[in-house]
Amino acid sequence: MKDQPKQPHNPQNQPPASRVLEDLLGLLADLHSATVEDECSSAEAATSNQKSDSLDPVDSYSSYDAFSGESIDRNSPPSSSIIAAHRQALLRSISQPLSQPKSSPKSSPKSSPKSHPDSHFKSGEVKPASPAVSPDSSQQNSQNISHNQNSFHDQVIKPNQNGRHSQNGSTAKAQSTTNSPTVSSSPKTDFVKNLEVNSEVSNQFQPEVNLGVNPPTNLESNPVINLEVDPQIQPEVNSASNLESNSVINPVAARHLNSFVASLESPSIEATSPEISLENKSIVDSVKNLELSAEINPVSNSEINLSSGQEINPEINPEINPEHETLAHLDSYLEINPEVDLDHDLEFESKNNLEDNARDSLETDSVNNLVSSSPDNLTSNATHQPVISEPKTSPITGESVRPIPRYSASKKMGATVDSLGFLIDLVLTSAPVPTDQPTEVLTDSVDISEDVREQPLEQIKTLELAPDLPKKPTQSVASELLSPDKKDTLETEDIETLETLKTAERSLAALSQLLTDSPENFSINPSSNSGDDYTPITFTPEELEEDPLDILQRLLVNPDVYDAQKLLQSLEVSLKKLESQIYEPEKLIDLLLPTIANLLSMKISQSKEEVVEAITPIIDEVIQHRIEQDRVAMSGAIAPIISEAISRQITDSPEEIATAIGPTMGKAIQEQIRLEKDSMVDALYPIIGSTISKYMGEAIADINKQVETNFSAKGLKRKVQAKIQGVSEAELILREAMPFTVLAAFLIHKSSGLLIADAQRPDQQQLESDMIAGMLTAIRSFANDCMAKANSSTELNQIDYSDSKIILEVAGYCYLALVVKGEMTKDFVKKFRRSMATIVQIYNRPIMNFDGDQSTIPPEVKILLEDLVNYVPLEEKTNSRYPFALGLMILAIVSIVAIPWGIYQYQRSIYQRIAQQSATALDQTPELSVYRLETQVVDQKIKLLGKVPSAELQKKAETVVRQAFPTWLIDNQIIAVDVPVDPSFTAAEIQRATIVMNKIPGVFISSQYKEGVLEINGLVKDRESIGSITQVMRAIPGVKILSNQIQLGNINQNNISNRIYFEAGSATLPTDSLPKISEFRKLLNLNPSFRLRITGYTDATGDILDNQRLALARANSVQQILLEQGIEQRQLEIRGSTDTTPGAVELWQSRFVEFELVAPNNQN
Amino acid sequence: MVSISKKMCLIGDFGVGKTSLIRRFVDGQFSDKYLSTVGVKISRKNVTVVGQDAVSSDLQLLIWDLEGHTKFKVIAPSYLQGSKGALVVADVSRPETLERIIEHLDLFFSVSPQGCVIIALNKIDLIEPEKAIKILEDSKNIYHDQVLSIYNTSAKTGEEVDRMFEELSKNMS
Repeated sequence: MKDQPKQPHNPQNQPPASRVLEDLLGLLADLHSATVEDECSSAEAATSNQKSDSLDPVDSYSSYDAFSGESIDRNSPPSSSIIAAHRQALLRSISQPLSQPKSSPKSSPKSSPKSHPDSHFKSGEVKPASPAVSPDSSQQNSQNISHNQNSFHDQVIKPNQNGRHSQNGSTAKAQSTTNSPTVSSSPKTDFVKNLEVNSEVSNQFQPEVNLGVNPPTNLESNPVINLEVDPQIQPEVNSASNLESNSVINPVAARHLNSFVASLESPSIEATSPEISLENKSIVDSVKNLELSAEINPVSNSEINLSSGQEINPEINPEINPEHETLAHLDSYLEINPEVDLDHDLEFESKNNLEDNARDSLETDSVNNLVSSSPDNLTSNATHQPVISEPKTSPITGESVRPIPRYSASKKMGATVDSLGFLIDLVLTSAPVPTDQPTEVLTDSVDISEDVREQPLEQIKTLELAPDLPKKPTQSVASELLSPDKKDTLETEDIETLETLKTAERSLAALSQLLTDSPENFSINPSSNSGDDYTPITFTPEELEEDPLDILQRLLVNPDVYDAQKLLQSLEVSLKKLESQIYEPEKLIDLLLPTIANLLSMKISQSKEEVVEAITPIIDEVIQHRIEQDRVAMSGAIAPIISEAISRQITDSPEEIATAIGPTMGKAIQEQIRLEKDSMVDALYPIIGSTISKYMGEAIADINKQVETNFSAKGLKRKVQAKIQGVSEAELILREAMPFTVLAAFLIHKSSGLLIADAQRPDQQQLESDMIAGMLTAIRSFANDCMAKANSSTELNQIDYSDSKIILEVAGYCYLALVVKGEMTKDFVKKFRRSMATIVQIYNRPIMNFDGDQSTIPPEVKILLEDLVNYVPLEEKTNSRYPFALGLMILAIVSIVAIPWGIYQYQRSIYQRIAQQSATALDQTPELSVYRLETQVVDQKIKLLGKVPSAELQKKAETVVRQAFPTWLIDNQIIAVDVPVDPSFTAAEIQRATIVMNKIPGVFISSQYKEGVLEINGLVKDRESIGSITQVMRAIPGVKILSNQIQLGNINQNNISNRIYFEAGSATLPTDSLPKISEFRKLLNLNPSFRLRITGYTDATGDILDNQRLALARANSVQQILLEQGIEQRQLEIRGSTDTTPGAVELWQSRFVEFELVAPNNQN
Repeated sequence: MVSISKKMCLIGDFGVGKTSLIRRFVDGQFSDKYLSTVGVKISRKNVTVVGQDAVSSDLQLLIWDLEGHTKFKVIAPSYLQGSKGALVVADVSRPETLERIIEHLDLFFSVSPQGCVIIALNKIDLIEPEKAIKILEDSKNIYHDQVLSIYNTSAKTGEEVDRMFEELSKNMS
């Protein structure tokens, strides 16, 4: 008997934690479930199959082969892992019930031993049947994704469904209880309760229950059935559920799932009545509460169900009504969230499947064996039915069946919980909802158990009937929600975790089963629904009994069951691929890559606005992020439009651009100048050129003006002023450039600094009178206080600032502050002093009493101030008067200078002319021309200057001038001086006179001059000549002493005395000739300048040549004598002449030497 | 154009918040920065004073912000001349400034015996309210017969500042 071994197996295999978790989950599921038992059972079955698959293909198969219980065991661990705490709590709470359930199975199995096997078979058959159907549908769909989706949906839904199914189951129970209020349990009720609870909640019990309850046949049949069912379903699902669908649906599914969770939570919460609050936290309490609520709820639930369910969706689910609030919720979900509905639908579908199975059994339409087996099961189920969770299993021995499905369900839940955090929430949330129902279930179960005691068969029937009711609605719901289910499956896949995948696989399998079943259900439901709605209880049992058998048969016969294994394998493979793909994003990406662009483009083309709206919120962040990543690329991308954008913006709103750029313009220009000075210069040149030229033009014009005036009278005056005042001329120019103006006048109260009155030029910037008055007062008092030396008071008179100054004039109780520009004229000083005097004298009293109220001051004060401000300097008038006077003055000066000068020049010209003529006259006088004489005309007198050697010449000069200018007075200042004669001049004169004298015939003289003494030697032929020579010589200036040693004599006369006669043919001197020679010798000695010519003569006889030689020899002999006697050679000259002597009669007379004296200058 | 002007002074030790009070009153601003006033700073504010006969008149307040009194430099009496009113300011967080209030009062009354004076106990935002109230009461006991009134003020929060100036200008007109 496998049952017994399995019992120990299960508890052993299952770790306590997992058990607890499962229990908890189951409990929660039960609590949730208000629908038909059949649904739950089917769902559980499906889940169990899935889980077994998920573990490992082999393991799952083996487990299936071995037994459902084993499979459950193996499945349990994954589910348990997460919710340890919950488990513990559950354990604690459940510990009591646990003990009881163990005992309970025994009782229950007895009640329904026969039914179990049948039910198993039926369930097995049913499942196969559904696959068989599913292929058709798939074929019909022609491998449509929708079909796959459906399967997925189913899968996903299952976990959820479990809870809900359990709910449904509980509700069904509740209904059943309501239907059979007669049932009452005292000891058994607890037992049953426990049983139910355990079975619903925990797998632990189930195995035990199975052991106890399920006959071996059941056990065997179950695995087979499971195997058969699973493979079929899974392969289909797998095949159907393609990767594509997953990938495609994932995103959507996730969203759906979330929304569903949210929706589920809220409704569940709503659904949970206050009693529900107990929930899972403390199971004991919850159980109690459940009981309590169960008592309360059944009625309410039934009522609600009737009212809400029917009312809400009469069309959809007439049967829903019995399902209680959950169904209503589901409906509401459906209405509200089609997507969400899917989940419900899934649940419903699972339920439906279960239900269908049950229904099938119940109804003729359904092929399920479950139903067929159900009659037997009914008895056994009676206790189990509350759990109803597995319609399929229920046909099998109720207990054994239940555990498995629930187990699976719980496992599923656990797995899902593990895999999906949010799923836990789902479960939990779903759990609370059930609370009402669980309590009901419990109560129901209690009731049932009681009933069972009394009338097990009836009870079972009623129980079964009850399940039917829920089944139908769930079915209908499921049918409606098929499409949504797909999404749910997708969601589960989305979760991406292996577990989820596994669960997904399981769920897929289950879903596929469900789907396959569902079509049938669909077909069945409508018919059944119509009938069932109103009379579910009575109606269903009959059907159940009839149909299951047929269904079972079909299932057994159906070859599809064997194919299921292959399908399952392929499904697993594909799922693994899926997993791997999910974990390898690259592949996913590869898959998605080709379609992404198309997707986007399609979306954009379809609804541009949506895309824009979707992207808009993050577009800036996208750009920013991109910029952070790669500035260069972004700048490159934007660059082309930047300039255009800016220009556009400039045209659109130039002011904004200006305000945006303005602040950095200065820096930008600076930077540009720093980078490239030349380009900036070039850029600005045209403007700057004109600007500067304009400015320079003005400046130069100014300078020109100043320069012009520099040479004008004004300039002269300025120079003089600068000299006098000791200031620079520039300062004066500046002063002239700025005419004196009064900008403002303030009359200020001396002590308080309050303004009494003020006047300002309207054309100037208005000053803050009050503030200035205060500050001036403060400054003034500061100066007066802090600068004051001991025993003296200081007064601030003037404050200079830039080109202006403030003149402070204190008087009485006030002081006048004048803001002026330019140099203050004396005229103005007088004027404002007068004004101050007036103010102080006349208006002193009001000023003294001034208290800040300007209206107390007479208006005249202000008028006075305005007069000051309106003062215009008189400078223009003086300017015009000044040149005139200066012109006169200049003219006078010129005339004074020029007239005398002209006269002088005139006179001077006259004088010059006279002097010139006088000089000419003097020059024309020979005696005077030698001397330098000047003539000047001074004061009508001709002045004669110069020196002449004698008074005669002096008088002569005067006489000459007088003759020329008889009318003029002559101032003769010629000086007669004894001019020392120049010795050379004298010597020359003597020389000249000597020569002149020597030209006189017979005169041979020589002169020697030495220091005023003249010595004359020579021969003169007569006395008269000597006298004249002496006179001449004496007249020579410089000759002061004349020594006359001239001798009377006649030398050069053809005179015999001058001849020495020779013998014929002889050149020898006669002896008697010596005296004569000595005479000549003396003469020559005295007059060294004289020369003596000695000429020799011969007679005409003889050879001429001889004669000539003889003549020369005779002269030479004489010369020799003279030379011997000391006469120099130069004084001697010898000649030979052959000429016949004139007058010679005789020969001897022709033979002689003749002497001839030659004067120095008379060569001849 | 306001034809009636009145001069008033703020007297007190350095750093008691005279300038801040004026700034708060004239500009409605406050700054934590401490700017030492050198010499005199004159501010102007036009106020409308409702007299006892319920006739409102415009008044131009020329507020002389005098350099704070330090032990190295006393307040020049000449600055106080012609001042119709004065605010003697003390810093509640610095007791020594409170003690010197009497000196400032004497100085002011010596220059303008007919002037009206209000004491401003400034910077109450720096101390606990209870303490501020106690100081105010103590001060009132001491100076009540010499001054128009005594205010706890805070230039930072603006507490009582406007009211104080209003009362002073009302009494000066």
